[in-house]
Amino acid sequence: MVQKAIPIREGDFHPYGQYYRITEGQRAEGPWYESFMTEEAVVSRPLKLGITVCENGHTFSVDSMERHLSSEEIQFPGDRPIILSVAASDPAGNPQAEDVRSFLLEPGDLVVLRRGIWHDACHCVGEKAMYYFLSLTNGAPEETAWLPVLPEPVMVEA
Amino acid sequence: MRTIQVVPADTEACASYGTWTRLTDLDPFTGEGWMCWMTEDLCMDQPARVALCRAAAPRPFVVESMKRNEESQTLLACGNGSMVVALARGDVPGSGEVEAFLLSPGEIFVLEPGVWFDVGRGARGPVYYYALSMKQDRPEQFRPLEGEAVCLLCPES
Repeated sequence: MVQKAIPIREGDFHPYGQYYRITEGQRAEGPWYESFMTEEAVVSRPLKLGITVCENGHTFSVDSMERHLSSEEIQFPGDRPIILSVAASDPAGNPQAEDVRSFLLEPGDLVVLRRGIWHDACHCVGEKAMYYFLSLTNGAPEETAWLPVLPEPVMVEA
Repeated sequence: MRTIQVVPADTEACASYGTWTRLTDLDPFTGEGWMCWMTEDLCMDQPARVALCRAAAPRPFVVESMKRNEESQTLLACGNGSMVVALARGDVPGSGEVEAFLLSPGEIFVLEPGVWFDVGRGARGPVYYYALSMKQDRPEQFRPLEGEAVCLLCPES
């Protein structure tokens, strides 16, 4: 069975964390620009920032996922839309296939994953994409885990 | 009108305004179908609101006013293309102080509080980009440049 990614603007992200549509925030404009800003800081502390470049086909397999016990994680698209797969399975066990949901994020969408939420590296929508992430883990050995999705991988269609 | 050349951002050129980092110069982490790079330390010294700016690439690139964030750092990061950022130091934004940098995808530029900046512009065409900063008690206001306007000559124009 192949799961279709849900546009996050139409989905329910609450079980996994906070969703921000930046373009619904505070607006400003000028002669050559239009800007939007979230009404609040999206997390309460400074974090490290990274970029991921992903490249995959139109359909892909979510066979393992990662979770952090000590850090929330911000993710938002860089140059193109991305697909984020998440699962609210028990952080002490493995991510369960039945819990996996995939969301399509367009530029202007931003999510803050709660601590302990399972997530895959994002995938692109048919071509190469770059996205941003921010987190700050405490480095403890059990803090971060990459574990197989059980009982079997989930296929996702962009 | 004063005319200056836009120069590619790099560590040395940007040092007086803040910290520039090309993330892809760092050691990557890799997985199946992905590669990532992450700052070694906190990217900013405070939490941040996140802004998305849709900017055109008006020709010529003329800077007439600037604003600043006196209370927090501002992190700039490209979205879908390279951008031009005009900056200045000082108590007021002076025409003779303006410098301009080309910021490309994969690079971040953290401006220190008090640095004057104009809204970014697309280097090759319209872009969107991100700016992370903290809310100010006193909202930032644009101030006209002291002296003449500044025309930016962009290498990718």
